[in-house]
Amino acid sequence: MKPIMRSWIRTGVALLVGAVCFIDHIENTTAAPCDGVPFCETQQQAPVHYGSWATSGWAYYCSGDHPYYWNNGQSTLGFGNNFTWDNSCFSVTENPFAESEPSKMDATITNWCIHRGGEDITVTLGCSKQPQAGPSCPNNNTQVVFHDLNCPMQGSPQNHCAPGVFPVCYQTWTEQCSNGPAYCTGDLGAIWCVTCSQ
Amino acid sequence: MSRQRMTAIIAGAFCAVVFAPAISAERSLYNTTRVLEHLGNECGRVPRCLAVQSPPVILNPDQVKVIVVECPSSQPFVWQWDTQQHEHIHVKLVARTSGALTFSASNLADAPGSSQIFVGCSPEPFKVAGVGFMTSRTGIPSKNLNMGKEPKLGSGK
Repeated sequence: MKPIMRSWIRTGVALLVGAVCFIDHIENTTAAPCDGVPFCETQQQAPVHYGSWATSGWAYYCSGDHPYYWNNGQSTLGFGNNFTWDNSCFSVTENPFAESEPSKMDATITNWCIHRGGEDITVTLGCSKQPQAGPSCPNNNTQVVFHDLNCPMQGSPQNHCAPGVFPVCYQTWTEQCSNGPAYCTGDLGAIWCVTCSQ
Repeated sequence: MSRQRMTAIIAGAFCAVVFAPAISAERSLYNTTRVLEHLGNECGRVPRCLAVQSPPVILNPDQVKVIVVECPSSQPFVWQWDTQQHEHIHVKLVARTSGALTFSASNLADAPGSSQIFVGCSPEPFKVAGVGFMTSRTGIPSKNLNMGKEPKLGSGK
């Protein structure tokens, strides 16, 4: 066999093995919205119409009393596993580096179908009461308390506002309590804190 | 390093080797006559929406232009946006204020192309909850596909 032919066969086999491993990797990490996310609810976004063979970037935001979007990059689930969509014509690829706000989910959405009228897509996010940054409790034993714990505050409160106005503006702060830090959120007059269970 | 991470890295390396020539040749893969239709998304779920359109902008190869579209005082709040553009034009939202959107439009191929931007304006302030907003729009190279007849730029919806 000619060397060049052997080289092509080796490349082909390597590609096949790589593709199989990659698909296996994807299947191992695929999850539904809210899988592995505490105090989570799904939030369905409005449908959007796409033309054929076109792609766009899109920013979605968690809101209301579950304002935090977890991109799961810090868990075994990995990126791209806390949202879903309803139309198989599309691919939706998460852009974690563009998720600059704790509520934001950023994605590149592509319609691969060739239909004259185009296609609609509806994206659903997993949204949490708990910020992705914490707390980290033994056995994931966290709890939500629906009032200010009034423990000493660490640092200063931070305001988070998505583009536009109400209702995606809220304030966060951290308190140091006897059982560890409490991550508190103030949203439209409602206050809740996530902390480790006693 | 875990087995999963290792396999992902190996697969990624293979993809990089295989697809690198295709990516470098991407400029020639665009169908520079195909137009992505204006779909009317600028007024989707926008209360009392008024669509405001920019004039069509012509871009030569490798050219980038900045386009600002403002809402009128009668409907001063900007919500969503849409385009009618050639497949090889990349339109990106680069800034938003309460009453205007600023875009960059760039030409990704070796032929001139056009873009026209539509923004949805409302008397009510923008609410992002439940709707989000588009941050960019472009076409997938389709020179080797039969996409059928597409509309001419500037005809609107």
